[in-house]
Amino acid sequence: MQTPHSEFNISGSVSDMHQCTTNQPENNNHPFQLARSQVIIPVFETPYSKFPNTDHSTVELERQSVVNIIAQRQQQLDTVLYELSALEAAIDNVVSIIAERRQQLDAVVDEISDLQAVMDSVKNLYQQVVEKKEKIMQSMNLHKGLLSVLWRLPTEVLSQIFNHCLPETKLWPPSNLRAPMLLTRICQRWREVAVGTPDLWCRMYVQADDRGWEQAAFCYDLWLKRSRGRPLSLEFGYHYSTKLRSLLQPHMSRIKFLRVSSDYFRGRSPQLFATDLPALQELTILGMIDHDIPTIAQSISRLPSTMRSLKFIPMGPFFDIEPLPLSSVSPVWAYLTDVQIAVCHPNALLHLLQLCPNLSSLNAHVGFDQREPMESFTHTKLQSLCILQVHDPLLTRPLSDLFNALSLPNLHALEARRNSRNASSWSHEDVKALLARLKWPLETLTIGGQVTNLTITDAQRAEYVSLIPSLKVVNHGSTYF
Amino acid sequence: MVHLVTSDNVEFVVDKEVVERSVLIKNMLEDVGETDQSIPLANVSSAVLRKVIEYCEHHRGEPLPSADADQNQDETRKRTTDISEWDQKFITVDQEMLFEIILAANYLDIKSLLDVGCKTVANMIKGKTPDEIRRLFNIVNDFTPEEEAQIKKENEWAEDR
Repeated sequence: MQTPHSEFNISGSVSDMHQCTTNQPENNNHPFQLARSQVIIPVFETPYSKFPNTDHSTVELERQSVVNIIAQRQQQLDTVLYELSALEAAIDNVVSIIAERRQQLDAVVDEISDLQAVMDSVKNLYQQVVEKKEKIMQSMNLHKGLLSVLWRLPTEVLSQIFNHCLPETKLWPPSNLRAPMLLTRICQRWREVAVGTPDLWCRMYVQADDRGWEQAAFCYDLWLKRSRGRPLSLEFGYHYSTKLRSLLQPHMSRIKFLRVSSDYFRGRSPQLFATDLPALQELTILGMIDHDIPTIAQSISRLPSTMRSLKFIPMGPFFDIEPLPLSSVSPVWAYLTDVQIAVCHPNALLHLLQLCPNLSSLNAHVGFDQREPMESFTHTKLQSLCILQVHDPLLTRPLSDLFNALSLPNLHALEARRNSRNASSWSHEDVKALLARLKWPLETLTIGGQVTNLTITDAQRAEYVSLIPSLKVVNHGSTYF
Repeated sequence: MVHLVTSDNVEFVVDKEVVERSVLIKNMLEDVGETDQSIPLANVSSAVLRKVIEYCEHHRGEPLPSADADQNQDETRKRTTDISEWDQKFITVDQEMLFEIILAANYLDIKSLLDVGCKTVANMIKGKTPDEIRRLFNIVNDFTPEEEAQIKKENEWAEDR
C-alpha cells in the first residue's frame, strides 16, 4: 500500500516563497503555482479495518502486521505535520508580504495624491502665467498702438478711409457688419469720426414693414440725422410702408439718386415724382414690364428739371416714346445727360436724341423693324453711345443704316453689340465705311456680341486704325451686355 | 532738379517733373521760382520719401487729378477697389509704413497716392468684425458702459443683416 504525497515539494516551495513573490514568475515554485497545488489523500483502508475492536496482536494478515502499519502511519503523520508547519510558515510569510505591499501601496497612493496636488498647483500657476503673458501683450500692444501712425492720421484722412469702406455701388440696408455702422463700433475716436462724416450716412436701401417698425424707424432716423442735410442716394425696397414714407417725407427734397422697383408704381400714387423729389438727379427703375409703361411714362414727365440720368434695368421692354406728341412730352427729357433705355419704334432712337439735346451718354437696347430710309439727324452733345441690337428675328434693320443717318460730331466712344446670330450683321466693310465717313474724333470703338461676322483680325484692326490713327479698337468677342 | 531734405537730414535730388506731382512742392516752386536751395520736409523721413519718390517716378507725366475730383464722392466710391497692379505691389508694405505714406501723401498733397493708401486701409477693414479690426490696428476698445449700451441700441435692428 502506498501513501501518496502532494505533487510538489511544499517545504522547498515555502522556503522560496519570498523570492518567488517578488521577481520570479517563471519559477515552478512560484506561490501562485503552489496555490494551485492539490493534496491527494490516499486510501488508508487495511485488511484489519474490517475487524475493529478485536485482538490482532498476534495475527498477521496479508503478511502485514498491525505494528508495521502503525509505524508507517507515524511516518506519514510526521511528514504531514512537517508540511503543515511549512505551509503555516508560508501563510505567515505571504501575510507579511501582503502587509508589506499594502504599506508600499499606501505610500504610493499617498505619493500620487501629493503629486496630484502638486500638479493642480502647477496647472494653476501655468494659467496665471498665461494670463500674465496676455496682459503683458495687451499692455505692449496698447503702448505700441500709442506710437502707431494711425493715431496721427488727421480726421479728414480717416474720413476718406471710411468713405472707401462703403459698399462700392450697391445700396444696402443698414447692417452692423458693414460701414458705416461697423466703423462706429471700434473705438471712441473712430466712432466720433464716423458719426461726424455725413457722407457716410447718405446712401441706403430703405425697406421696413410693420414688424419691428420702432427699431427700424430709430435706425433710419439715426442715419438721416447723421447725413446732416446732404443729398441722399436711396433705393426703395419691396416693403415700402406708409410709415416708412412718413419717416422719409421730411427728407424727400434731399433725394438726389433713387433706385426704385417698378412694383412701386403698381397701385401707388405716382405723384411722388411730381412734388416730392425736387432735387432728383438720377432715377433707375428696376424690373419694368409692358403693363407699367404708361404709369411710368406719366411719372417721368413729372420729374424735376434737376434730372440728369434715367435708367431702366434691365433695358426692356421697349419704351415706345414716339407716339406721344412732342408737345405732351415733358421738358425733363431735355435735361437728361445719361439715358439707358430700350426702344423699337421706327426712328425711335433718332426721336430720343431729338428729345434729349443735352445727352452725353446713351446706352440703348434697340430693335429696328423697318427698311425705309431713316431721316438724318445731328446730335452735338453725345460723347458715348452704346447700342445693343436685340435678339429678335423680326427686328433686323442693320446698324449701318442707323449710323448712316446719324451725325455725332462729339462722339468719343462707340460700342456696338448684338446678342443674336439671327440679327443682321454689321460687316467689316460697314465698319470701315462708318469710320471713313466719320468727321468726329472717335477715340474708342468697341465691337462685340457678334456685331460683325468675324472676330476682328489684326489686319482689320490695322485698317480701322489707318482710317483714324488715334482710334483704340476693343473686341468684346461674343460678350453680351 | 529739386533738392529735398528729410526730417532725418537726408538730401534727395529729384527731377522737377517727378516732384511736382506733389501739389505742395509744385506751389512752393511756383512761389519761389528757380532756386538751388533745398526744400526742408520736416514731416517726412528719408525711408518714407524714398517710397514717395518711387511712386511719383512711376506716375511721372500722368495728368494730375482735378481739384473737384475728390468732391465727387460717388465717383470715388466706384473706384474703391480699383487699385492698379503696380500700385498694389508698391503699397504692399508694413502697416506703419503704409500709414506713414498716407501721412506724407496728405502733407505733400499727392492726391492719387493718398487715394491708393486710403483704399488699401479701407480694403483691410472691409469684411472684418470689430474685434478683428481692433487686433489688426492695435486699437483698444475704450467705450464706456454707457457708450456700449448706446451702440447696442443703435445696432439692434441692423444686427447681422
